[in-house]
Amino acid sequence: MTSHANHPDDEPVNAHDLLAAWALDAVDDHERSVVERAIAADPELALEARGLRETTALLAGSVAAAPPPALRADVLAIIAREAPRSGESHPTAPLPSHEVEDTNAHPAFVTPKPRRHGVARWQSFALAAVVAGALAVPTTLAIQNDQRATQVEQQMSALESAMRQPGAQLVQGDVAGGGIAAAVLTDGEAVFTASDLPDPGDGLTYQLWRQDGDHMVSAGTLALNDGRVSATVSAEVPVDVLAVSIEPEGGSDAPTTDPVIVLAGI
Amino acid sequence: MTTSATSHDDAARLASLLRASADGDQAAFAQVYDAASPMVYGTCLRVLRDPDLAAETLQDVMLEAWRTAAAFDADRGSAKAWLATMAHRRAVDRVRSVQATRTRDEQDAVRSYVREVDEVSDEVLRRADADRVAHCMQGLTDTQRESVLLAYWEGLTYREVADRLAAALPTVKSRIRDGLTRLRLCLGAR
Repeated sequence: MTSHANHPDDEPVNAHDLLAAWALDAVDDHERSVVERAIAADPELALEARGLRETTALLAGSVAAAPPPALRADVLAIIAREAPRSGESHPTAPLPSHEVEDTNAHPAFVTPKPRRHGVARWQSFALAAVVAGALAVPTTLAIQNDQRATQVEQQMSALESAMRQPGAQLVQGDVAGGGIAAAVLTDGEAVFTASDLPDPGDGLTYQLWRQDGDHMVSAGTLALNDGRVSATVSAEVPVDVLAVSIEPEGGSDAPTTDPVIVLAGI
Repeated sequence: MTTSATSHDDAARLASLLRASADGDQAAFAQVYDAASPMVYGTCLRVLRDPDLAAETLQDVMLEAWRTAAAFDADRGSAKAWLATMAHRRAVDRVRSVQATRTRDEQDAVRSYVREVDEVSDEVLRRADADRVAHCMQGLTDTQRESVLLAYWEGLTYREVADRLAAALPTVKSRIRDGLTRLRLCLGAR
């Protein structure tokens, strides 16, 4: 139920105490992972968690609003491109999108094997270096600018909490065009962060990709905040290669430009 | 529409549509989209306050739902809660990353919460949920309601709620816990 991991307040996280805040997404990444591990281990807590999540779903339902009608066709067109070929059924397929070749994958974008270029392997000092250097924020600034500090804190705690997973690897590299990026890669999840990124330009956005087999799957667009981005990528397969490219606003289905950074595990 | 039997049927239907989507059934997923997109879009709009960002996030959420439908486990909650969680999480991730560049009048938003539900009915598809939630919200103390709404609709962590209200962390944790628990009892959520 509790974790004695380093936390901003050096206070153990009590999962039961934070369950309601967790259900409202009002916890940081570290607290979330502590609560979710506790839920997985405790059926009684899981039952309560379920009831609270159903409650927040009713809150969500209470503000239902009609979405832009055109979006429906867009979404259905995208899934039609990803769907398994007709006539084939995959009743046990864990992730339908992984069953097909992505014909939109940019051939130049597929990471060459042994896909290690630009990659620093995990070294014991590296996490401290990234946290202290790349994401450095003096404590005085934390007081002056609590919002920015909270984001940095969240970035750090997400990296730290990912690093505690067995087999986690830290990879980092320079971003073409400016800035540095770091990611912690684990079996089912990766935490990606970058700092000092330049504005991608009008009508353009940074988009994060993970490699799945021989194609790249979008992990969403990255909103730039003070030159900084962070994202958590979850997948049913090990996440061992991440990349970022600059894409038209809203993102692309497959990369349309060369990556500005590729981070690959060993 | 408002009877619990009907909403139970709706829940079972949405769960089976999601399972069919996991098997690659696009027609089933189109029905998931129709059933869930107003909730997902409304949640994103409420948190992000920007129709374009909300539409983008809706698209992200629906694609994530399609791609990860196999991970939906009815034993762990309803399909609606699964989708609402995904929607809120995505919207909050986005709002936390753009927060510094936006001016948001959170206090005002909280005060207008119940009023908006009533007034924007031309835009908002009124659902049975809305009335029940508004009613049950009145059963919370003012400080509980304020903390729950700041956390959920402003995408604040409980620490940020405490900062915002200049209240002690344990106080805010209790307000959130007691407030949401009271809301749960009133709404009969299981």
